[in-house]
Amino acid sequence: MKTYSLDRIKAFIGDDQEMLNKLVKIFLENGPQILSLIHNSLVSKDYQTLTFQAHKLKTSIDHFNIKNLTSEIRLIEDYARNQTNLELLPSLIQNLEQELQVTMNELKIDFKTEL
Amino acid sequence: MNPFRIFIVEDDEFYGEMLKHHLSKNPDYEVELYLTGKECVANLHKKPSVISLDFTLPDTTGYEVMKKIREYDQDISIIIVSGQEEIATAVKLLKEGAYDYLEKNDETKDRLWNSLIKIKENIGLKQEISILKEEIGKKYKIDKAIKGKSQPIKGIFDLIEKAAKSNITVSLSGETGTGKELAARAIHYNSSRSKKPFIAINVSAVPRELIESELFGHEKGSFTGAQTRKLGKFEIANKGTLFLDEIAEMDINMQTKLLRVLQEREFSRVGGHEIIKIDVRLIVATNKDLSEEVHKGNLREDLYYRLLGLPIEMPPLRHRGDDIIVLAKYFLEEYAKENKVDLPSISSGASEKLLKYPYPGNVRELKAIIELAAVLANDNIITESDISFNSAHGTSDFLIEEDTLQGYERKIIKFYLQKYNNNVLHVAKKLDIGKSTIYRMLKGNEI
Repeated sequence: MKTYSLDRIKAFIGDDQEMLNKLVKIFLENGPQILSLIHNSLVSKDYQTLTFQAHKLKTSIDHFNIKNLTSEIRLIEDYARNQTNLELLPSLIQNLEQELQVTMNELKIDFKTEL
Repeated sequence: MNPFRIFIVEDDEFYGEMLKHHLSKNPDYEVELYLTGKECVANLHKKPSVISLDFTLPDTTGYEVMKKIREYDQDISIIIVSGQEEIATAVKLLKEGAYDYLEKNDETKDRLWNSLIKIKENIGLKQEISILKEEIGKKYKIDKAIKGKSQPIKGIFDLIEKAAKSNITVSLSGETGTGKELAARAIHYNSSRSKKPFIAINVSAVPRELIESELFGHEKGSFTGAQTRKLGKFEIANKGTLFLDEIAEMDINMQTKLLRVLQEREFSRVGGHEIIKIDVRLIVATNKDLSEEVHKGNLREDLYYRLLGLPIEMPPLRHRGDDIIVLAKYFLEEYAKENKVDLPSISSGASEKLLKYPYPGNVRELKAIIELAAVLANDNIITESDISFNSAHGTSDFLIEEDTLQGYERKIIKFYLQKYNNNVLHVAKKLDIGKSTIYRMLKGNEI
């Protein structure tokens, strides 16, 4: 069972394989960068950047329908924005990193020939 | 026509590319994606028609980018796309001129698509209006709007040009058919207000009880029959020009209200309390002598001075010499164009006949005479016999019916008394005769 689904993206772009490849490539390139920024901003307690990057990642998570992360990414964004429950952020972010890595690995395999 | 260029400003490349892909399905759209506000602002010279702007950007806020876009070009439509629904933010952005506010969700792409269709339609309509306005403007360039080369009309061109350069109220006078409304339009379309409305209203054509509502509008339910709010001519003409034709026919009570509006530059709709400020250039016209109307108590003196401004008296056609032929040829050209026929010519005999006639109905009458002559002409040449004067004023009949000199004199004085509302002093001055002569004839029932 995959951790992601392409249904929502396909509903958006139709049956355009080239575009789908492009989007997967963007996600695989930008995902680690965003995760790194989230990680660093947690360490430096830069909650504004943390909010911003979580907000950005949310769109990709939603569109890849990564169910394990759709509520987590919202919690991270809300806690960072409101600076509440800050003690929960490290574990939430760790989980985000792990889960997202799994999805990215799956995508790398599934799109190996296309990318 | 400029391409319909759309900028997508979206820091999330993933989402931005999806939007770009979706919108590019319309072959009429040229879609460009920018990942920062700075990039968007730096590319505004490409003149996008619409900018889909992500409210949350890495380098700046959506507010800031919107402000810079507005400063650069007021006509660019901005659609805000935001990751979260914040009613207060949406309201603020819409108030500040955003065209739409869309929340990022599954419906965003369709709502954006629909918004773009509406914007494209609006832009198309605006462009059409702008082209039409330009065409109207060209049509009313002074020498194109009013035809003629005579000295009296050159004097009018000069005054119209002066009037167009200022905001002064203009009072146009002259006999019927001399082109007062044409002159008013020429002033408007050659002035700095040319892109704003020109609204004309004939005061005598509106029933007395409705004129206030026509001029100032009314609120719903303000009187029987007022089923909806209606804007008045003053409000519609805001920033433009209001032309009040036959101003001398305005009811004295209405004159008081008009005077107040002209002094205060504000008014309320009938039945309303809201104060509406206006910036309207006023041009009035009459075929009566306004000073005489003041003298007779028909026109308030204070309003008269307010309205007088720059007085322009349109010359009667009979004083415009060869303009009669210039105009006749112009009307023939128009006739030929409208009826898709070859341009008729005018024989020398017909020209002579046209030049001798006094035209009590002025240019309007000449137009009717020429159109009829063009219909009657054989071999596309207008001859003397094609020119017939059927003036409602009966000038030709007057001359055809043979009479004694004394008889003609009586008829002339009677005609002028009728024309000037039995103002003996004025008629005496016009005909250069003693007023006692007229009084004597009146007493003796000679006229």
